[in-house]
Amino acid sequence: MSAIVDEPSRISPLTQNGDLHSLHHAANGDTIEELTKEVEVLKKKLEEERAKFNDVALNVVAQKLDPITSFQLKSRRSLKGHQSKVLALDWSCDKRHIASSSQDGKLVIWDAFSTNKEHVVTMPTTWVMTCAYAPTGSCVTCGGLDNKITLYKLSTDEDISKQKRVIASHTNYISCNQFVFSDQQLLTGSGDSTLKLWDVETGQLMQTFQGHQADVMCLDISPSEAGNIFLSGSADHVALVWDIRSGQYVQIFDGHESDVNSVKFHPSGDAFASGSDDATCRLFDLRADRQVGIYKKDSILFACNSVDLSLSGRLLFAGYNDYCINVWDTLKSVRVSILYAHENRVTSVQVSPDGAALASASWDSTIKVWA
Amino acid sequence: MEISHNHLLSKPSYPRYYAFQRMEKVIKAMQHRQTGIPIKSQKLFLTTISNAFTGEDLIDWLEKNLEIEEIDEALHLATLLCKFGYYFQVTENGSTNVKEDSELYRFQSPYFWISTNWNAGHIDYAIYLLKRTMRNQEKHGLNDLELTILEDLRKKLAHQWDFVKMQADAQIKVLKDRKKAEKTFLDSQERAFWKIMRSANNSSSVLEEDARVNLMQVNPKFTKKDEFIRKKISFFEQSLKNRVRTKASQALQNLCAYSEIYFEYDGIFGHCQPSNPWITDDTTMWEVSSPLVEQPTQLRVKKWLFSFRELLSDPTGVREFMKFCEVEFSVENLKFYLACQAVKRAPLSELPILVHKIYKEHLSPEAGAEVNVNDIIRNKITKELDNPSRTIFYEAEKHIFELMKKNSYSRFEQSEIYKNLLEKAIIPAPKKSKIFHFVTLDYFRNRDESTDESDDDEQRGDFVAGGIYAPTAQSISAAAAGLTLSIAAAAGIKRHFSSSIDGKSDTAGLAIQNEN
Repeated sequence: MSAIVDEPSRISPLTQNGDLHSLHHAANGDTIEELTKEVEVLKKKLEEERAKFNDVALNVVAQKLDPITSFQLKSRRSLKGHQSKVLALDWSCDKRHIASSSQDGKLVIWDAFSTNKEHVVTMPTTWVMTCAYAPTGSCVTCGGLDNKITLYKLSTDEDISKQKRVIASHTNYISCNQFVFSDQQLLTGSGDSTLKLWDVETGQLMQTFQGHQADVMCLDISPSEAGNIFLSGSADHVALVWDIRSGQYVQIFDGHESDVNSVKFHPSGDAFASGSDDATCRLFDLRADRQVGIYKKDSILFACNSVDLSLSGRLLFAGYNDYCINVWDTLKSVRVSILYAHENRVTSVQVSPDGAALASASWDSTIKVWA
Repeated sequence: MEISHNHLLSKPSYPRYYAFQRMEKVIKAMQHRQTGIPIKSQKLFLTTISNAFTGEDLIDWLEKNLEIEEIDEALHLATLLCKFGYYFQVTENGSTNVKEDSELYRFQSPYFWISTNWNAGHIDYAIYLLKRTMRNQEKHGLNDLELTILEDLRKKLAHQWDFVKMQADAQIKVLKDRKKAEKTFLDSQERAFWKIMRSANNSSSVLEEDARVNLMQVNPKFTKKDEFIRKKISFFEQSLKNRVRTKASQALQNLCAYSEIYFEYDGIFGHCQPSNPWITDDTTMWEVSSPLVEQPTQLRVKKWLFSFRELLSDPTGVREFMKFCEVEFSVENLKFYLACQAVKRAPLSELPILVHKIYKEHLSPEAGAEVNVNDIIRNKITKELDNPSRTIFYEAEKHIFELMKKNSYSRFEQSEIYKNLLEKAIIPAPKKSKIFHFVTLDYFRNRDESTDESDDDEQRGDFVAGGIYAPTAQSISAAAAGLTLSIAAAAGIKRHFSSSIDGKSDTAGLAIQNEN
């Protein structure tokens, strides 16, 4: 009896000498505890390796830049029509249409410029947490608590819900989805801790991405076409960089102390910004392989739900649970403006494809366009 | 609404855990004896309110202690904390909108913090209401709504009503031993607490949670945990061994350079040609920036020199580059590259036909427009031909991309064709130009950004932008000079930078390959 109890905590003599090489061999086929210990050792080594390349801080490099002295965004359009919390929005490539989805199961296609609603679809579920415009603008996908992604073809027909098709499914809620370069492939992230790549036409599962230890909250695809990589953020506090072809993660970025709610590539494709429940935003550089910036203040207490960067990457927009959008100077790491944007939590912020405007969605059931 | 996820609150995995923790840290600091908000008995008309502080002191404290520069932010934060019930207005009015005035507030006891009472449900509320019916009618009597709720609860909780009654009796007994001032104090805290708790079914309540909260996997179970960890171990080993890292200085320099170069394209900074449609309602900008245009704008043509990728990502750029390649008789490379893009975008069903067509045209021994790739790449493609994937041409495409970048693209940059394009490029004028422009500092041929910026600024009216260069109407010349200098600086780093843009994909690709 006592032997069985002792089993998991038994330390092999090899692990005690701390030698990495022999440790690895010892770990093969050994207990979870020993494997976990090895992960910790390797993680520390990686931290040391990364630290070697940390020769200068971002704010030092950014010193030579002129500060952003006066800066103001105003609300230019207010899109009203959702009956409850707006949970997600996505710009169309035509720079003037927006798709949005809400807690009461509605998907709305807006001509944001004229503020007209062009289509309203009622989903057979509540909490539609994500919606995405196809790159050609010809269809829209959405999903949430129904654990599915449904595709709607946009046409001049009154009722676009006649042309719907389920193309993806998970075993838990779907938190994010995005088309990959074309209308033909879709990437989805879910509360079941995986991401999946789907062929849109056939609904065929092309690849499953496993590596997160908790709910996947967000994803973003590299703006550089040759990159073949994408990002994901999760409730396990970590952001991962994936190789879309091999299905493996190629970089791990930790630092956040709570759920990573949003990740967004820098327009250069070399870095990415993230927003988290820990009330901070951060900037990670892919080539330096580490965190290079952090955006926080004592007076910001609430979770950040969504981030996006301006076309030049100089401004970071972040929507928080305190009803505000904070605008940060990405390089100097200072806040340049607060937008008292909404009357409830800001769930989503997104810069328009041409960089001319910012859209924000909120639990106050409105969407606003800022310029 | 029954609030029932209390058991999660103590765990850091609970999504709101950090918000409560951070708020409570601030509240505790506010209550510090020496450095907190001055709390004293305050006179309100003829009565004295004990243990209270003013809105003015609260705002003042927030500004000093949380490094808040703008009063709006302090007011906003103070109001939010009030909505979460950490303090409440002493007067019956009970508004949660904090102002910088002499309105009196009192701290909520931690006993009544929402985070510690997440579970408080119908029974607790029933006890509270019943208790009040047992006290002085004039002071504690229930209003009509509360009476209805109490009746409702009495029916709903019939089987537990004895317990409710017992609890209420006991609490009354405890109260009797307290001093009067203390009683008033406790009563106000309890009332404030229930006010927030009972608004939970109101859609604007701060207590409302994301649906995901109930679905979160608090302890995710892995069927193959050891496999998961092994994967992580092999990742770390690969990352230590093979990943090529850039020094932070280099990486950050690139980010700064990128922002500088693209600054004059960033619409949020007011750089929209001719004007931002969202501000002026003039959609000319969208017309001139559509994917395929007869006459591209000057800024757009300039962008094509930033990097080869930038050129290839613009359909108009591709069209012009194609013309150049035709003159050079090197059109097969570009055609092959574009065909590879089509493969990536094709539906699976069309893939085999498409791939075979490309192979026949560009890669097979009898290809009409053969591209120059080595045998290793070619053989790999040949093997995959019968069962092609979207990435079949990945290596070949990369190879041809580099080839074009080194040869055709670098010649294109220097070519007469490009110079002509730049000369012919348009600078769209705003429809209503109100300002007379008098500054032209022209360090660069054919550029006149300062015009569009100042005009745009004028059109925007209330848009105080220009950001970095802060052009007010009075300082246009200074702004223009600043802009030009910065462009010069940007142009200086551009060369080096643009090579790194395209170079990046290689390192990334290399790293990925290594990890495979």
